[in-house]
Amino acid sequence: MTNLTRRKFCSLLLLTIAAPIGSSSADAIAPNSIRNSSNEPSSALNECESVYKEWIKNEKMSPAQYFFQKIQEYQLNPQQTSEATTLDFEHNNFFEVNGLKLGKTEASFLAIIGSNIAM
Amino acid sequence: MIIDANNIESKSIFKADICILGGGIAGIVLANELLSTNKNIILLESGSEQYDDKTQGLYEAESTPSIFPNPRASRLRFLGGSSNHWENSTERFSPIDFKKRDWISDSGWPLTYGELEPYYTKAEEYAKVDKGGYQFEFWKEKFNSTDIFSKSTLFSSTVSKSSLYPTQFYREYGDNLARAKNIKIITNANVVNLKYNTETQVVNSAIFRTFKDEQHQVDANTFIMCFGGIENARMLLTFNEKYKNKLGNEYDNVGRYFMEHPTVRAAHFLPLQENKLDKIYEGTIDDELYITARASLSEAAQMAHRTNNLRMYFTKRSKIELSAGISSSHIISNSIKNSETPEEFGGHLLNIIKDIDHIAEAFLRKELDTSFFDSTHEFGGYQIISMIEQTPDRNNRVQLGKEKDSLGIKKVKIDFRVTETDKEKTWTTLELLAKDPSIQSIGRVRLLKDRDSRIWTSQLGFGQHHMGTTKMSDNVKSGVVDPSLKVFGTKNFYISGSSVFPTGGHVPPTLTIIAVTIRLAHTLKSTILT
Repeated sequence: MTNLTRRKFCSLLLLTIAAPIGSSSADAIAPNSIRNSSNEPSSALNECESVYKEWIKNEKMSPAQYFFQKIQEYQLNPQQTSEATTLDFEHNNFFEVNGLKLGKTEASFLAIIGSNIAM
Repeated sequence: MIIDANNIESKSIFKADICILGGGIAGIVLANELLSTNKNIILLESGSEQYDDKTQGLYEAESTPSIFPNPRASRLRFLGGSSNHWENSTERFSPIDFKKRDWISDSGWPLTYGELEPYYTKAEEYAKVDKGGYQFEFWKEKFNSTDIFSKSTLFSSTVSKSSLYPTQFYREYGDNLARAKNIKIITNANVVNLKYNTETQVVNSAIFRTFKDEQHQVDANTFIMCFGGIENARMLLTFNEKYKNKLGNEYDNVGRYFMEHPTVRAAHFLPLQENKLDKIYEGTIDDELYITARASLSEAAQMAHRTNNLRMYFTKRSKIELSAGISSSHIISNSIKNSETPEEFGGHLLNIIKDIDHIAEAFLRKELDTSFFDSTHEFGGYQIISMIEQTPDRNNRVQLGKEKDSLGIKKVKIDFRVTETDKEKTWTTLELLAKDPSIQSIGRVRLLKDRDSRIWTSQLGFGQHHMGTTKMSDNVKSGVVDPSLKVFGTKNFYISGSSVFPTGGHVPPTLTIIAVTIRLAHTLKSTILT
């Protein structure tokens, strides 16, 4: 299996599992490629990888730990990433990757995806 | 009546009540407004009814900073002036643009928005953009659009309008002027000096020359100079060489505070899937008007965050146009040329690897004039283009150089920079936009801070709006003209155009140029001419 195929496989698998949770987040950073099966999803997944790398560089807590802690704090369930992002924007809780301003909770979710790609 | 100065007798002397110097937008509007007075008017225009390369060459600057376009390319020197090539993008200045803001040095007009407001309505008629007003609510309903900033407390949507086709002022109003019995338009008439009595403070005559080396003069009771943002300063400095700075330059203000509208492409907006912006934000047509909605930072937010005013609009871009890899490849290749290693070399290399298809596409387009990867043309997002209000800076200036043009007038040399403070304020506003809750539901903003050095140099654009060089003030120490636009130190010499703006606002200046010119005509009619 080539590297690209492995990436595609891992990411599509992850997205299938996580789609209800993170649809808005993944779309946000990769607006037109990730959901269009005719397109190469690599740019969106590369973004996730960048989020992960930035996360481990700057944060003490793992992305998964942060994600679930924040979801709990906001009294949401893991399917409500979009609501968590709204609250992040309202509370000025951001994470920046290559200039892209993300809600920190959605960033942690994307970092979870990115951690699998970076493996 | 139109008279070609090339066909008049040598050393002719014309008599008039009013002499208007310059037949661009301000000159034409002023002449048109003053027609009804039945006073005799002479309008002197350097060019003719058509473009002429030799006359255009009179705009050539001696020197400009490398980032700044030579005025020879940005202005047009024939009847109608730069309206012969403008985009006709119009919008009113905001009330805050006129206010003294303690975080913007030398800000504050000696008149309020309210004082200028009545003249804006007529100005919109002149520019043929009077239909529908500038209220976003009106256009939102008309186009059945949504307001992307409806949830925002900091930003709102506002609209700018252009007429289709752009209004060329001489084509539109020239016939009316040419038919009038009380006006003479003298073409190919290049003003080279004034006759000014230092005792009485009265300007008595304007001297003009032709390329045939003939010199003539106009004697008049009132003179109004409307040469444009750079030329007003250049000619006033020229006149002052003879009259020892008595014409508005006692405090060395002529040519200083030169402002533009630096235009930066410093952020991308990436909409959520299937959530492109409504067509009003991309620009759309309605009955001979081109309407574009844009983001506007509220007055309260500007005060709270101590930012300058800024106009941000969203321009649709393909993936290749938003590619970080292409930008990184430029940064790396520029560094290699300068034998340097760029900061974040690894990051740039990664961007190139990620966007290798876009880079290959760009290369193929450039070298082989062909396209290879279809996906690179797909919609990628929006570029956020920001037109910035510049802080007035005394060191940004138009001066007379040493070289002379073909008529013996010294060429200009232009000093211009964008200060670090203005750059920081721009980033602050873009940061506020990226974090705004209204953005959260429709997409995300990427700030291109890693490209900072290129954004403010090779990628920097300009509105081609020249302002501030003969600024209006209620105090001779800090300005060149008084609030009635009369030049300090004179009793009958006025200036109109964007050179009188104390601050440049955040929108194209033409509508405001027309408004201040109509106001000047009103002043002249109600005082001097009665």
